[in-house]
Amino acid sequence: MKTKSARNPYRYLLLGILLFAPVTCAAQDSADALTRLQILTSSITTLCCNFTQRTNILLLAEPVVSKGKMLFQIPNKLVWEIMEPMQEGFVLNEDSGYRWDENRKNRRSFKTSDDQLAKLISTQIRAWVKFDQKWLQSKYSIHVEQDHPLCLALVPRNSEARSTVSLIRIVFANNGVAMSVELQEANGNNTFIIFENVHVNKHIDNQEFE
Amino acid sequence: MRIPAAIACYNFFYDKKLWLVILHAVIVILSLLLSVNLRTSEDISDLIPTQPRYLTRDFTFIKNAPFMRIIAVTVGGEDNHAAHAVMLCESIKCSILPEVMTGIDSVFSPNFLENLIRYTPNLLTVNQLTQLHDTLSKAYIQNAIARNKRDLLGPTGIFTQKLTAIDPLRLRDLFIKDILSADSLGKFNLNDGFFTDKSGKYSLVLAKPAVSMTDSDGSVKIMTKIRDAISNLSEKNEIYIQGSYVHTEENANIIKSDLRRIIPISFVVLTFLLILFFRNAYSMIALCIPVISLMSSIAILSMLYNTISGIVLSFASVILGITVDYAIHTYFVLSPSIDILNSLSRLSAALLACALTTLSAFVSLYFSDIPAIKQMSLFGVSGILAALIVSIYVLPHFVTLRPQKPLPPEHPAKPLKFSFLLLIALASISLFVIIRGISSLRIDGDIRNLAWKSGATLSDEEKTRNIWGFNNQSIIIVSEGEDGEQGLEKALRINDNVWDILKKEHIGASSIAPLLPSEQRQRVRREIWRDFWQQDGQNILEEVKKIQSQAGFSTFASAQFVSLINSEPPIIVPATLREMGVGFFLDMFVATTHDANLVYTIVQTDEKISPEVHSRLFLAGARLVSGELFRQKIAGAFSDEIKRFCSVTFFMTLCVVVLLFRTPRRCLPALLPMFTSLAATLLLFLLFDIPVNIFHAMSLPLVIALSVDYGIFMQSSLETHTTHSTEKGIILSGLTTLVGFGCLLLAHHPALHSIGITVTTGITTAMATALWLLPRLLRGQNT
Repeated sequence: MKTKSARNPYRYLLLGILLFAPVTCAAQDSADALTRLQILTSSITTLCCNFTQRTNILLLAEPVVSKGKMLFQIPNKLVWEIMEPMQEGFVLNEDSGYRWDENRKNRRSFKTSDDQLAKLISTQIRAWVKFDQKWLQSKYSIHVEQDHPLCLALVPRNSEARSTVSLIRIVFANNGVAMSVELQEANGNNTFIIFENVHVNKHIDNQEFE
Repeated sequence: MRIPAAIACYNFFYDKKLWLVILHAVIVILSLLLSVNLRTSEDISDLIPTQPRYLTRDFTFIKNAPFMRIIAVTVGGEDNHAAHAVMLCESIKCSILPEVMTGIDSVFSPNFLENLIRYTPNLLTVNQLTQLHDTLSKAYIQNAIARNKRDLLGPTGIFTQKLTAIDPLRLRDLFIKDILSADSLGKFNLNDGFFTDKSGKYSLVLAKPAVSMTDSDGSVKIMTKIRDAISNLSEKNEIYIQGSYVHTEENANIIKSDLRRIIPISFVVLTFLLILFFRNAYSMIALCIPVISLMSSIAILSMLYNTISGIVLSFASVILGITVDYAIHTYFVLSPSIDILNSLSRLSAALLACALTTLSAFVSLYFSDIPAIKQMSLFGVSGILAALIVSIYVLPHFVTLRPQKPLPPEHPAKPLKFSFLLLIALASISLFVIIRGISSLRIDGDIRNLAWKSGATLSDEEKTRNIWGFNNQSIIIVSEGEDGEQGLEKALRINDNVWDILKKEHIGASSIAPLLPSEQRQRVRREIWRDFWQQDGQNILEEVKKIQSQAGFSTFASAQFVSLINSEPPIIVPATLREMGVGFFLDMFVATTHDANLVYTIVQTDEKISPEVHSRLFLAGARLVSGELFRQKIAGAFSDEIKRFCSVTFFMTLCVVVLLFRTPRRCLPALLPMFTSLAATLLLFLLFDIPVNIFHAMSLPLVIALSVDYGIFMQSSLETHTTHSTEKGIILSGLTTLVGFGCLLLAHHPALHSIGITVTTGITTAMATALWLLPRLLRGQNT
């Protein structure tokens, strides 16, 4: 019988954290920070930005820098697209979506009910958008590393998860939107993402998610 | 025909009536003592024909299938349904429900895949291994490495790093699809380790009881435990229960409830009828016959069987209804004023003839291949014999003690013109209907229809199926081996021979064999793998390193793959899978019986499987069991049973009638009630399109035998001009028989209801023919 939290590593998918930290964030050990983020982000309905991701993986000889864009609309719409050095991405529109490699026309559709990854992302969205403090705190130990700018460090509570992801560090701008996310893996790999040209509550054409 | 023994016995016990009473008291007490240890069961396998033998074997395969032995409880409706599922899980776990789960650690997660690809040499098929040189072309390697890099930089990179390091050639893609087939049993996901449906609204509790699904006592205990635990959950929860144990429990309860209702009602109505017709306290003596008969037959069954089917015991009302007839005829024929010895002699012969016809029906049932019907046969035979003996040798001493009442004047029926022609015409029409009816019967071979299912259970089953996608129309293929190794080897042969065809027909199949190949097969595969990498493989490895370097991979990116090539992974055994966290799936596909290991392959289709698959399965030494095929075979067996029952009974009753009446002109009237009743019963089936199950079928010989009795009595009485008392006797004995069978119409259990409706229709028609038609036809002949 399974009575404790599961050890499914999908839960620790980087994307879920990266994408939705800008919307809301919680910190158990800092009620002020938590409240401040909640107030700042409560009015956010859409988010558009570019990102630059630096991935340092032991399997690759050199760190790889990739660039792309991200679009988000509450409650559950997301576009995550890498445009350099290769092209790939995915679109999530409520309960369904699609992925592509190289060519956006070459789509692989999915439903969140059938796709582990999509389901995980959807779950993460729900948790962050609904500001599910209980869920977040059950998954991560959250510490405020710095007040100005606000920097939160999230450490997975589950030891098996920690054996994959050792730390997630998020730095927030004054408007409550994430400026950067750093992910450190237990094996020494790390990923650093900087969000740029961030637009809050800008109209996003629905076609972007279709 | 006279029976001297009856007269001798009458004379012997004439002044020893007290001894007779004491003797019967002893018989009843002994019967009671013997019956105490008799246990009833509601085992559906009692309804499966033992011949042809493959039916029992197929049913054993179905019964032992691990997924058939699971109780699924769906908990939903509340936000915290997972927590409620855990509560339920904790509270139902006990010695009879030792394995209860709400989820598992992982289902084919990346962790599982990481572990699994270390066994690549054991998991690639011999075909794949021998074609490895062709498969690993330069283009293939370039494509694989490009995909690896994209994965590493993409959102799933964090999980694919280890896979990429160990398996840069993505050899896992060659075997993973077949292995993942084991994950297609239902539409459940894992959410925080809990089984959750795709909408996230429901959790699932799976319980694997320690007792057999056909153990009625065990099932009642299990279901009571589960229902008690459910009652402690919030009422807002939606709870749906599915599993064979639910049916066993429901049937056990419904048969007990039917028994509690039917036997007292039939006894009360019988008593009422006797009082109504006899208006005499002495008539209560007649009630002793069915009671003694019933007690004796239960005692005999308890000597022959440790456990009898509950359905058989429900037949008690029928025994009461039939056996009381012997007492009724004795009572009517023997009155204080007549020549007892002479009347007794004639009565004995008539009763013997009746008993022979009824016995012929019950004896024909003994030739059945269905255990429950064999038990019913013995139950009936012993009851009839007991009733016959007591009616001839004991009852005459007591019924003649009653005060004599004058008989009311007779009102002979108005004779019909052209009666003999009418008789022949009626018999011919009936025969035509019988022949057409038997050939057009729609046989219901679905034994599930012989079990009671409440509306709540049906609704729960449908909801469970909709929520979790459990397919109740799957076909199972069973690989039977003396040990696990043999079973797995056979299962692998199925994959080798059949999966390609199924894939072409777009039919999904789930099997544990790709994940757990037989040891022998794993050793062969490892050998081919080793040979490949020691020879051609070295060039391929150099090519991989070169392309990886060009794609920007580090110099040690292929280190783990080299290690995999050079190492020899251990043989995958069940413990390996349990360590990987997929023991749950292993348990779903493998079962052990007392003499065999069974490995199941599930084919997800309700359509017919092509003959090519059948022949290949035969060659692979596997057995295909589908609900549809099983039903067809059962229907075939039932059809054979119907023919056997009816022909044996018909032949035996015909012999009795011919022995008694000798000429066709005398035999035909005696047989007419049998013809009309059988025709009416078959007409009922045809007109209302009632699919005939085995209990309808087993009732047909009873209709034949009991109907012919009325014909025999009526023909005898019309010939000897003792019509009035005979008519009264026939009415009363017909009514008592109707009470016996008619009470079965009150039963909820489909089997009992089927018997009730068949015999009630038949007997009603037989009574009408014997009492209304025969006197008119026969008097018409005489005039």
